[in-house]
Amino acid sequence: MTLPCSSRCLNRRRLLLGTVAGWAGMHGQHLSAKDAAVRVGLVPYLSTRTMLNVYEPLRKHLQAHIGRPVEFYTAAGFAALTENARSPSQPFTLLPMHLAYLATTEWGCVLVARSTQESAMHLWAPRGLGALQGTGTALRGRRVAVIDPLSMSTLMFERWRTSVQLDGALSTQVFPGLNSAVMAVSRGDADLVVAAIGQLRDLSGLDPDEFQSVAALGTVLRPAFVAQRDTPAPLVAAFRAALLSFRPAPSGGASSALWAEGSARDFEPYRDMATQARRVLARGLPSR
Amino acid sequence: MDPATMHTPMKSLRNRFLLSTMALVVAVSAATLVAAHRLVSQAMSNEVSQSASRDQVLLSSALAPLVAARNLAEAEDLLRVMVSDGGFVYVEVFDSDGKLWLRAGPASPALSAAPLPAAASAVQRRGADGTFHFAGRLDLDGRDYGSYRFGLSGVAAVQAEQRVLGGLMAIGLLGAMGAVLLQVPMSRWLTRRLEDLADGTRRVAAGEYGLQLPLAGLDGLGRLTASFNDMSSALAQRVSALQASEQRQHQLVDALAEGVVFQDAQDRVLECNAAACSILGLTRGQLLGADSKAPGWHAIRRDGTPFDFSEHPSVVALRTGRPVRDVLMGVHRPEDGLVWVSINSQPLREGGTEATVTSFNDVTGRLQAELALQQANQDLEHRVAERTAELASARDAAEAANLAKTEFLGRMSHELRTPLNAILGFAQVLRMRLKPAPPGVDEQLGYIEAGGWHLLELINDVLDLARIEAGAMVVSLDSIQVAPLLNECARMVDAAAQSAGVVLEVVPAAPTWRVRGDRTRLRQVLVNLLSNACKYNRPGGRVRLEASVVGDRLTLSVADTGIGLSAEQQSRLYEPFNRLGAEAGSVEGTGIGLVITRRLVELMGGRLEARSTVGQGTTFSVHLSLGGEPAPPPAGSTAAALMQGAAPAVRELLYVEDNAANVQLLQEVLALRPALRVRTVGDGAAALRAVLAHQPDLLVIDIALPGMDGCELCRRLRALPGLVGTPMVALSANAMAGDRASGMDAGFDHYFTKPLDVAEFLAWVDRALKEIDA
Repeated sequence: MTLPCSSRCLNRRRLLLGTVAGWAGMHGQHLSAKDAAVRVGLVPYLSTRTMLNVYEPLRKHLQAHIGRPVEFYTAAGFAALTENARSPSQPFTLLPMHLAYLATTEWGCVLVARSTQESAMHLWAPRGLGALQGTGTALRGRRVAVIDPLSMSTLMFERWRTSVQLDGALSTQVFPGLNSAVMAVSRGDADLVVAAIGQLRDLSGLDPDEFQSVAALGTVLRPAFVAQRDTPAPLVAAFRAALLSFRPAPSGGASSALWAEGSARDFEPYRDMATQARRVLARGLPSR
Repeated sequence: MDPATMHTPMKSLRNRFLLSTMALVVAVSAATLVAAHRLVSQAMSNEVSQSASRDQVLLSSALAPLVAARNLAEAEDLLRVMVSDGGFVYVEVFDSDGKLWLRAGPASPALSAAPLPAAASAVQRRGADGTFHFAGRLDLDGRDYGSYRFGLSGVAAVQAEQRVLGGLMAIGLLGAMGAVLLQVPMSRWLTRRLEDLADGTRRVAAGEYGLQLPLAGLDGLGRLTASFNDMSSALAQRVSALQASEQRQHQLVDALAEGVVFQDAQDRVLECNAAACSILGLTRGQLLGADSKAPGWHAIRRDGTPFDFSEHPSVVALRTGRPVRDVLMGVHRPEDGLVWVSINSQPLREGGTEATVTSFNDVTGRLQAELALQQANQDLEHRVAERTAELASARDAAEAANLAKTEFLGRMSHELRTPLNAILGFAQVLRMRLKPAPPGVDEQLGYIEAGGWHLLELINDVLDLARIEAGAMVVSLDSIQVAPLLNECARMVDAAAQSAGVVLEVVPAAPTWRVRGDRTRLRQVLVNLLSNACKYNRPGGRVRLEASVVGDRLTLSVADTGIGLSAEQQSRLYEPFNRLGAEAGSVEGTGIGLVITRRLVELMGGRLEARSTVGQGTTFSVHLSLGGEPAPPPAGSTAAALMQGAAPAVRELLYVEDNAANVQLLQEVLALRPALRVRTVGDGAAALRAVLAHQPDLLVIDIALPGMDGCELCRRLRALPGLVGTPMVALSANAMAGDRASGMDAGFDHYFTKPLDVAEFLAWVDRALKEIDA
């Protein structure tokens, strides 16, 4: 007796689960199995699916322009991302500016392109939590959901916390990505979350108006693409050209940024945060 | 059965064959469907369960790291993909506190009902909508991160089941249709051959024995046809044999001298043999079909009354179901007159119908002989009855004569004893009073008394002989001790022996010897023999009395040394009143003593034997049976002092007597007891009044009283409260044994007979007074 539909459904489900389990076990090493594809690493500040969805227009654009399949990969954490960025198997990596600075200055990577847009980093609280702006007393004892300690948002928050002398008053809870952090706040597992306004908009199913900004932590450029030092120059050039030609849709989210070639000067504002990141990496702190 | 009607069952058989085949196919298909449904359902459940088990492992492996890293976004994405693309209906993740952490898809209907597993083991159940619900724990490196639930759709399983069942139903339907299409020609082929067999059966039933049908094939119907042919051949042989047997039976029945008819349940004759026609005087045509109710059938009983139809043996046998035997019936034959037959009828059951076989014999000759014999018996019985009546009449006459003789003896005894009572009584009184008597008076009174007693002895002997001859003598047999009896008898004749100058010798008997006899009569026998031995002895002679035992017999011998008896005398020894020449001598006698003696011995079951030698003497032997244990001894009576007795106080004696001489005699006798006052009355009524008035201490009553006799008076007196223990005796001239027994039965303490033995009477008086004073 044959059960074509049922069997097919079961097999499909099993394959999916096996894939997911493998992907989760390897912390998201690759999303496609084609060897000839160009592997591109993305900053893991969002969940994988969200990340892929957000950057899918860009991926298509790149694939169309360089004439090769392009596969976007995320990583289990920022530390893993930096490792991947130095790996020849991943020619291109999207890194926050402070890590891009380290990559170009210390790991031999080449800046491919930088975003032309900035992100305003804020400390957000659910609107139901009441007015908290500027009231350091009201923030005491709050739990702040942050992502990876190497992330730009986390480093900016720590710098701000020190500046407002709330180091011992605000505790942090690290989440693998912004989605999880926002969900933790929504669930009540945390009280505040650190994110750029654009990042919140990239979260599917979330209305940014449900959050209110408690504090503005500063403005930073969006991440930049770097190429692993062994990446062939033509490919780098093709990749850069593709990036520079990208014209995102008006509501494209994080991938809607326009790209520019960039230079070392672009990294100067992030030298201190790069130093902080270097310390974190030196401590060997887990990046997730 | 005609062929048209024969085809209908064949069609019915064919239809039943088809219907049963279809029913069988449908039943098998239904069973297959049910079994397949169960198998598929179970297989699907197992498949889903096994698949889910693997899914649970993968799910746990995928979710646990995400939960551990609080990667809600990745976990949520995973769940959404599982629901949207993985065939999951819903997935829910709970933290370690059981709080819902993530959910994809609709809320689980079992959210509140199904318990979360407490350990790593998974649970499973199937919902009413077919969804399979699973739950399990999230475990990573031995640490528990919560639990999960997910549901898998059962729609695919249900659809698969429906497809399988649909396929099976289609197969079953096609199978049923195929079976029908196959069975229609097959059933027609089968029924056609069965119809051939049915037709052959009808032909055989119609008498076409030995019919052979053509064989077609070697299948079951072919074998059936062959069997039919075998059966037909065998049937032909059996029918032939049966016809031959029937012919022999007809010949056998016809050869019988006994008439035999076979009748049906309506008593109609179905078959008969020649003897039946001959005995009944009917032709076979007349007899067949006739029954017991036929108008020409006249049957009678032995007494000539007609036989009712319901009583005919065949009818009774049919009704009761049991055979009827030896019924005698007279049948009026049309031309040959009456014939008597003895009929036997046996009920039969043949194939559920009842019938009888009746056989009968002509017993006219035997019956006539029986009638003649019966008439002869009746004549003989009549003559016997007449003779019996004559004998009874003669017996009655003899008994009447005997009764008259007995009454005569009784009257004679009474009439002779009454005057003797006065003679002997007064003589005794005078001799008692005249002490000392003038010279010669006592001797003279002694002669009177001796003559009176001799006369009484003669009277008693004659009366005894008369009683014996009349059969009125009654003996009372008892066990008697021999030794005292011999001594007593010797003392009684001792005076006579001394006066005759004869020595009386008694050989002592063993103390244990006892003899069966009447004490009084045996004593009478021995005294008589001893008295004769003394009287007919020679002076200085000897008389020897002894007893001996041989076997179970005891012999009492009286031997004398007299002159002996010749053979001629011995032959006439027991003739009454024949004194064998002694009548010429001086010895007194009546010649009936030995006669009485021998009859008394015979009455006691013994035998008297005499042996005598002339010149040497005679020995008489009494042979009797040995006695057993003795009867209880009578109340002791001691010889009372006759003259010395005296009552210490005045007592009153009532004497009831109508004879003046007797009254005077008793008054004279009782005058010897001065302390006793005598009151006399003449009849029973006066006696009752006197008793009520004076309460006497003793009563002496005559029996032959006017009006109420002495026995009746005694019974009435004993009924009075104060006289139950009063000494009361009868004094009567009625001396027969029956008279004495009647008196004792009436309640007398003693029965004195007349003539009165004064000494004996006074002894009783003294004993009674002594008991009263005590």
